[in-house]
Amino acid sequence: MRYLLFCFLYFATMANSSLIVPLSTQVKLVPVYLAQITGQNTEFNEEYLDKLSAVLRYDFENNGTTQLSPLSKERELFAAATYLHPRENLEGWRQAKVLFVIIPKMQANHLTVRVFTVSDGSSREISDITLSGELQEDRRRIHHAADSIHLALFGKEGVASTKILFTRRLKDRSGQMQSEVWQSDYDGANAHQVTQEEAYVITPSYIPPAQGKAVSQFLYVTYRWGQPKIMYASLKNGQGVRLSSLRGNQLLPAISPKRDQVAFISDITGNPDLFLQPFTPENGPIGKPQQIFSSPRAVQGSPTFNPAGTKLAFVSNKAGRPQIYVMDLPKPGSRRIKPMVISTRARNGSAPTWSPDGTKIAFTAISEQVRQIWIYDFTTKEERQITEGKNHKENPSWAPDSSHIIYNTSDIGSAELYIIDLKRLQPCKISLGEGEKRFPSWEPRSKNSL
Amino acid sequence: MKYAIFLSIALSLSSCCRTRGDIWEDTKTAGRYFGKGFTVLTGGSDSYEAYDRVDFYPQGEEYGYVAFEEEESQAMLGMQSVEPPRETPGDPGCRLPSVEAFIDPSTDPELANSFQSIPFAFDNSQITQDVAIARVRAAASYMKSHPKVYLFVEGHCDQRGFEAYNLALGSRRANMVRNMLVAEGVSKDHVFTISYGKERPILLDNSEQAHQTNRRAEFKVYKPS
Repeated sequence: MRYLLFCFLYFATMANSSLIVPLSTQVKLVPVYLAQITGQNTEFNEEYLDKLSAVLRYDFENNGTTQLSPLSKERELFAAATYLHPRENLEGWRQAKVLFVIIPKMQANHLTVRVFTVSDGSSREISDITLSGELQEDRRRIHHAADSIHLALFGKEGVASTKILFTRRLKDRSGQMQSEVWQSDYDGANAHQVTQEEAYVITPSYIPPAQGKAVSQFLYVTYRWGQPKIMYASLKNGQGVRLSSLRGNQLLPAISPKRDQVAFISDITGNPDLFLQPFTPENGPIGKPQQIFSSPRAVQGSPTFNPAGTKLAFVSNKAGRPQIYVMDLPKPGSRRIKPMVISTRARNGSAPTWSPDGTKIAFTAISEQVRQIWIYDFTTKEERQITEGKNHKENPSWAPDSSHIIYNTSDIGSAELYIIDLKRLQPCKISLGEGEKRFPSWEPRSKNSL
Repeated sequence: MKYAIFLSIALSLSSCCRTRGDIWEDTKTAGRYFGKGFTVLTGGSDSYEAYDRVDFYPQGEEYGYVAFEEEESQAMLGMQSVEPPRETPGDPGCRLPSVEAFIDPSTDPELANSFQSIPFAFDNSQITQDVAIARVRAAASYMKSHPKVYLFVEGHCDQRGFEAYNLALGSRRANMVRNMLVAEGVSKDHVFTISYGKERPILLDNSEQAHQTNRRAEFKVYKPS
């Protein structure tokens, strides 16, 4: 009886520790052997080929689908033999429990990738790309090859060729904090500045592209004129145009996946309320913005649209602390739509972002005094924490495959970008260099993009 | 012994699930929901959304947006709404300079005592502390005796909150100060707001003093020559 009481008291003193609940599919990654890029009659030296191999390897390690078998000299020889005589070497791969063998080869400046299916010995050439010898450009081509292979093997395009928008905050020469929008590849490479506001810029987000087109525009908030104002700009020149002539502070814009309206926060009423601005990327704002949600003595923030553009998730502290709510967009004649709170277990939530497939919302919430990334799943109606550790983490953004998330850490004086896939739940830092990197936005894809 | 076991079970079931802070927060939330529920039962509502776009509030139309119906919004807000200023410093066509021309009052002996920072409680935008009320009134007094002066109210937050949410909270803090200044008799067209969220902390460490210092509204003053 004493022992029973001791057990109860022991568990009674333990506060609820945060549980990282992995997806049931976490361990169901496809085992793959990816050989190093080797070349014949090629102008590229071994060192350059090793760099490209590292890029390809990174893409497969972080695609959330495959589990790479470790490289070894023995397996490299085995892969070379498989390339020449595929059916004679299948048993060895079966014993190694590998399902696919991927062998890239350079011939002159052409990179071909052949994939061998261990189960039946079939092989196919999936990718044939021309490399330039210029590393920045060749990295992008390798990323495209990785996505093509992913599509061919798994019926779903990878995210290796996507890009990330973010802000980089640095002190300028006068000691003032400046923040501009930057863009990089999804792995943090090829980072370059996009805006030249010479002001304080925050919260960039891509504007979804038209069908069949590539992303070319983005939204952001600038303090160029003093009060924060929302701008839309071309990625080519980064020169923004004001979204609205509304007075006061305008913050936290989000564009509908339908590309027909922008939700944002404005305090024109004297309170930070939720507004909708009809908008097209081609023609800009249409008519006046409409106030769509407010609450007495409450703060509203961070709207995000569902994929159909018919609902909004947003933050409000109308119940006393910031929580995530979902509401239908008002239709003509509709009255008294009540937003529904979804973050009940996660206390103090913020920065919601709706997944492109509509099944989940990622957000930030406090767990044991640390800001962590959480996911609300509409199919299971459950919330779960997907990050851990002492660093604060915020501002999640979904990849177009709805399986990866990017976020920034947010400790005092330090902020870095991390990507994480929902199967492995292993964060991978992608940002490099000085400055605080924050407010990431993951490039969306058009519906018909391949 | 039976009672001890029962008490242990009860305690374990409660404390296993939540910390003490969580229980206190939930108690406060339950109280707010009770109040809101009573309001709804008596015919009110705690939040609302826009009606058809043809039903707009004239003031909203004047300031460039489609708003809720004024009568209902005032009843629900329970407070008099403060109109926005007619102009925004720095905007194209505005005769007022941008915020860079507004000075930190602590650098001017004439202004320093009248425009001290307004403190706020954590995750709160209410001006309830005596020192906060006194400081807003001091600012209002100066503005009323110097009607040509213009003022920016900056809303700031401490480093513990969310980056995105704090941008909105900073806006609310700045507007609460503005509302009080206007209620005290300051011209609504002479007071503007900026939200900086937690982007411009004064102190960067993790101490309670730093957090308290960073949770503030600050003034920036423009005296036309």
